[in-house]
Amino acid sequence: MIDINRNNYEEYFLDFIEGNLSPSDKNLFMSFLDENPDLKKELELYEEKPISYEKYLFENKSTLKKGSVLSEITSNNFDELCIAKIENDLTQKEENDFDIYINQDTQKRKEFDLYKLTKIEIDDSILFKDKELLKKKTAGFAFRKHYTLISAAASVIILIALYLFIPKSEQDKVELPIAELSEGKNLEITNKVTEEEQSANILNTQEDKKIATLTEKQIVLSQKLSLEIINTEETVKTNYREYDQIAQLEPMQVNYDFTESKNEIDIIYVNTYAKNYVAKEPEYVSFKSYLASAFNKRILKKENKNKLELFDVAQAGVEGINMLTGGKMTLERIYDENGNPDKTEFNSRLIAFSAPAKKRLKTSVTN
Amino acid sequence: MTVEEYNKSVDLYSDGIYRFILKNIKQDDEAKDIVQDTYEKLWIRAGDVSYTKVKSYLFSTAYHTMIDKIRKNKRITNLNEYNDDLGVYTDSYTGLSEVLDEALKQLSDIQRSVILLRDYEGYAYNEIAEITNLSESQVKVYIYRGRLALKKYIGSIEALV
Repeated sequence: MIDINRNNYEEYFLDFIEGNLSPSDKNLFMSFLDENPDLKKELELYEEKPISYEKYLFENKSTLKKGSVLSEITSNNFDELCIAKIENDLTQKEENDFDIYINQDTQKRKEFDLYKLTKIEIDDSILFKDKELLKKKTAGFAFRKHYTLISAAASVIILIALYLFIPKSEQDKVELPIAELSEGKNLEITNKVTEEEQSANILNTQEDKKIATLTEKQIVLSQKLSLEIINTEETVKTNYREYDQIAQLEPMQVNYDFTESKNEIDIIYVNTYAKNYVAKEPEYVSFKSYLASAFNKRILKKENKNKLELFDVAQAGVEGINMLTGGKMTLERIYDENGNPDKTEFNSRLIAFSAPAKKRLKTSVTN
Repeated sequence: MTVEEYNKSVDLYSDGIYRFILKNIKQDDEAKDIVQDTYEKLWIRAGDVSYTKVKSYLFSTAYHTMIDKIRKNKRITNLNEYNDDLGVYTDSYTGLSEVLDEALKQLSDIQRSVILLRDYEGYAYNEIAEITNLSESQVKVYIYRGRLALKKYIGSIEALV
């Protein structure tokens, strides 16, 4: 404690009055007061009782208090009281007073009766009759609750099932080259064909179709038939461009009216068109190829691939589900020592299985 | 909320909602549509709505759906056509309910709604406030003004009859 002097004694006055001085400080403080009797008198002033708030009470409370509602009923608040009564907003005492009041005044009673009529009664005849249409089945609820999960699982199962159970030969129809020609073989074709030969080959379609749409398969078929014709006729010979594979031919729309064809010009046209078509890059792609290309590019991140394998779709689906659910499902293709697909394995937390890969069927067109 | 609780709410509250809406808009088909819309919305949010709050949710949804439809209809119909009927007293009233029906037409949409919620369902002021997105004081004022208007209408009918 620092020394008490006339410059800092007020602080000790307060601590002394509030009883915050330690015994040693208190002794020092009392010694200081004995040495300074004028300050001792000042301390007595400090020790007086705090200000009494009771001296300043508001004495007119009664003027602010409300008595019975009835004591203040006017034409203005009567409506309010009537409404409060029918809304059950009045206290029991107020209700009793109100009842006494209106029973003494016929006009007021009549007015209150009108207010009572504004209370709308429930019309029990109004019922909603289509309740059964609103009700739901339990199964539907369960499905809706787990809709996302069930949908995701169903998608994966469908994709895997498509990949595993659709016969490979069906898939290969899309994926494999439609024809193969032996490498290095010189082919000879003729542009002169007899009418009998025409009637025996592809132009059979002209009897049934006025406007024929030729696909690449039909064109190749026409080439094959033309080659057979060469062997018998051996007339005009031309070197035919050799190619080892007519791969990935896109459907080609050739609208040609066969009804007007009477001779070999048709065959020439078809062969010429086929030769030109194979030699050029296709200017247009089919919708299916476009979808496959877009899927490969955007989902599988594979450039320059225009065909789509179901395995790729299934694998992308599994990865998508993993991303959404945080799961660890895997779909893998296992290859043998020769690099050929051996089996496909699916593994999830709940189920795992593998299926042997089906051998691809090699399709070729022999001549 | 389970599907059983949902179906139970259909049994318990669909009549009340239908009655509440029908008394407001006076069009049976519209009222049925609103009830169906209301329960469809409940079904969609069945996972979030507790069964203890379902009645309040249903009435609130029905009320707001109805207000939306009323506002939409008011944009395409002539308001004068609706108000032409108001204040025209006929001597063909056969009972108090008809008089009250006519009196209700005089009220604003919000006045009519709060009084129906109060009388039909016995909702407290704070519950009505929650359903209608109003303050409790506003609900009291609307009820007061609505009752006053109904009383005046009924009184004038009595004077005529």
